[in-house]
Amino acid sequence: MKRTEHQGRGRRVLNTLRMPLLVLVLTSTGLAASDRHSPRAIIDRVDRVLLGASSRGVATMRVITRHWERSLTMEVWSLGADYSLVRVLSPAKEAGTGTLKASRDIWNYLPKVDRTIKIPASMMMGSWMGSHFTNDDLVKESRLVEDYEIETTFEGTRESVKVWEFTLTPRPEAAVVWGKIEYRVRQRDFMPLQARYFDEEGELVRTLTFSDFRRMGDRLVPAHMEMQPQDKPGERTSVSYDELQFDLDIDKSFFSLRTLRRGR
Amino acid sequence: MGNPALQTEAVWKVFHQEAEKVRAVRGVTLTIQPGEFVVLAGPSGSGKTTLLNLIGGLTRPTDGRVWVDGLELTRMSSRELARMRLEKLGFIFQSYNLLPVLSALENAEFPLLLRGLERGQREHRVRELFQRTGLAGLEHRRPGKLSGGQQQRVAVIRAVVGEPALVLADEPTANLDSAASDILLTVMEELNRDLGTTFLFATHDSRLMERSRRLIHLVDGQIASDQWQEPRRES
Amino acid sequence: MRFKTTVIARLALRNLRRQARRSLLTAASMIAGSALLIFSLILGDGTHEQWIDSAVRMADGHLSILSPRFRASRALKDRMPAESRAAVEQALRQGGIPGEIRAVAPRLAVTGMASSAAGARPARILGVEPAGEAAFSLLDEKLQQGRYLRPGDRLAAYVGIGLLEALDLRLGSKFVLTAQDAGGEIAGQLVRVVGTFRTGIPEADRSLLHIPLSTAGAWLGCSGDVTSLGLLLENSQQVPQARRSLQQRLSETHGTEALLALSWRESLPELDAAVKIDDFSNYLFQGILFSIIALGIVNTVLMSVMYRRREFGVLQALGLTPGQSASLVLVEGLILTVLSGTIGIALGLSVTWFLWGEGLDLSSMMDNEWTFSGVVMDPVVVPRFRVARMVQGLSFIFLIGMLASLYPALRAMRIDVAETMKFER
Repeated sequence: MKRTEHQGRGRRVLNTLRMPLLVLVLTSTGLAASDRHSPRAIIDRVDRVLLGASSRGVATMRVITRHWERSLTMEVWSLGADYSLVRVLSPAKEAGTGTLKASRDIWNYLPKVDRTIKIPASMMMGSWMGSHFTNDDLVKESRLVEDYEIETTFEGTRESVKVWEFTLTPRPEAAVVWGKIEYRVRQRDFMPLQARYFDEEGELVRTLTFSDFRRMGDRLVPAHMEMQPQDKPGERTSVSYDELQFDLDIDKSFFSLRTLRRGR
Repeated sequence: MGNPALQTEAVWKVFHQEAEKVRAVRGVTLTIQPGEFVVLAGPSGSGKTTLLNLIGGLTRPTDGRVWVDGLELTRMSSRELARMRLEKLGFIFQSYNLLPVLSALENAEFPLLLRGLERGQREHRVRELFQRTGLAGLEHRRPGKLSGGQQQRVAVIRAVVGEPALVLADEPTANLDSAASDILLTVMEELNRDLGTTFLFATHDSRLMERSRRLIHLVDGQIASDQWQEPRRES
Repeated sequence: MRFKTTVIARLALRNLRRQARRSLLTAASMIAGSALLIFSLILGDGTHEQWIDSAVRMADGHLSILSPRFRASRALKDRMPAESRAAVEQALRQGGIPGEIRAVAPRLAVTGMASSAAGARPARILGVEPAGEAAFSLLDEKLQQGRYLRPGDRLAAYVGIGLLEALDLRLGSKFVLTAQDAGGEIAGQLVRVVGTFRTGIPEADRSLLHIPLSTAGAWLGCSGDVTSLGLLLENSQQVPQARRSLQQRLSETHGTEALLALSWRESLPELDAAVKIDDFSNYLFQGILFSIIALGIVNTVLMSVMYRRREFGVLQALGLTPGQSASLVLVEGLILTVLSGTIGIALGLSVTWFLWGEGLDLSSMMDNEWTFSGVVMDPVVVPRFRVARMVQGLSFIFLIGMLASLYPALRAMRIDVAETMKFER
């Protein structure tokens, strides 16, 4: 029972982080001038802030709950949305532990026993490396523009920054859990500032905040993201990028079990 | 033909009672020919009953040999002994020992039943004997509904019905009054005379001794005398 | 020497009659014991039938037809394609399978995840045909709120109360199912809660949900396909024969790639074990009870032998072999037990029939719900009358009679004839 509850909490925390953590590449897609400022185009761009050709980065995840606190530093590679490789750098106890996602399969690697384990469908909900990430988080892809109708609900200044605010409403049969999402995007550079997720009854469930906008590997990215569940005041999970590079010379063959096992 | 009805050769029976040896029968050698009417007399404890049990194959001798109608008992298994008893021997006991759950007729025909004779054959034989022994009409009574004398006559029929080589009777008159004893003795005499049935009695009833043709005295498990005599006619 | 059984039987019967009171007393205990034996056997059978019925209706039926690979993998890729399913359904319609098929339930089962704004939970998702499933499964009867699925439903889900609470849903709420589809891709499906159930089985209430088969097929990219066909028969006794015949037909039509007809014993091994254990404990109880009754018989027969030692002596003097003496005692014991056992069985049958033929309500003896092997049980047990059980009961009683008479028979056999005659004066 305890475990389930714990996972459930983590799950809520992590749904938010899925996208920024794994999909690292900020693509400056050349949108046609006429589309550039349509809500759809803007959200698509924000959605892909973190999606791209290839990337490598080092990120630190901190999970703070009422009962415990934990920090994990990891190295992350990605190629498009289908391939990613994550390896823990610290704490030392868990260093070397890795996860490989190659198209639709996920493997874990445990250095202590030198074993790779394929995660079966039934374990997709299992916690990832003892964190609040679940394996499922690693596989799912973001499709905001496909699943939601988007309209601009505010355009103006908030806290002396010019922003758009968009309301994303799920399409009738879209397989999404939210009632709606409210996105706030900075006009100046299309950086996401905040995303608020509501359930069907219109209640705020969680808030994702972006900050520390920095140039990393030629791109402007929100280097710090923080999620707060609405029903757990004081609890949060944050991810900060310490390093980030884009468009590396890696291809699919890099995302192999051998790489996962090799350690680097 | 030619076989003695009974032959014993130096038969001994020793009982062990509480570390004490009791020599009940001490080297009895005896021959009885078919058709004889013999009384084995002697006081209580003289070994009469034990000797009878040895002859009946109910007790095995400590030493010596026993033949009934030429068959040596001493070598037989208990199954063979049972079969020998069924075919060669008849028993009459002091207390009649009829089976209480069977009628007089059923009791009388029991040996034939065991031999597997057909109902018709059995009835014919048994009814004739009932006539002969004055029991006609009592065939379907249960033993409890018969007098002692009548019961003993049924027992006699049971003993002779299978035409055994030898009938062993242990104190057959002991429980009967003199009238009943007389009737019983007469019945047995007639059977001996008419059917040639061989009888060996163990008794200390003087009337029975008087009516025997051969009287053997047993004392302390040994034959003290063995004499032929002229039986006293029925009064 | 020819041995006349009738002589022995007649003697035995008359001896029993002679000791009528003692015989009756022993007979009475035997009658009560046999009545109890048969009562507990038929009630046990009724209980087990109920367990089986409830369990198979919550699971895959008395028989389930599936691909052998699916049996091992439980993976969607090993499902039964629409053509195979049609062929099987055609064969079932043609008839000729022994036993009566009450309902057929085509199902598409997949393990995945159910998520809502409040979180996500692993889920066992069953695509079902609403009308057929309602006849097949007991799940629709465990309704808490709303309704069960109906023909024509599309984005509807019938959800366990535990899952509902975990996902913070209510009637009409939407949630998302995620699983690997037929192509191996992760696919999501939006559904809405139309009804909730509570089975009392935490595992089912927490993770099980039904959605329409057509929805599941479209979502998982395998419309028309199923993972299994469940068959509900009239009763569990029909299973072995029906299974054999069905398996034979499947082998004929599908050759080496034959589908499997799996009985509930294989698909619910823990239920199978439970039935066997319960039977065993029932037998154990009967064994103890009858050991006590057998002691009574030993006593009666032995007493009768000791009381009639002289009689046995006389019989042996008359030429009865020791073996025949023993068989006389055996026959006495057997007549006593078999006669009273038969009466007892008849008594047990009629009492059960007249008093509880419609069902015996055990609810007063149970606290709360009675769940078993993941199924909540009806507290009303309907006895089950089977000829095989009567035969079994009688044979058992015969055996008991035989065993109980063995020692007295041995004693009768070993009687020392000379000894018994000694005390006649």
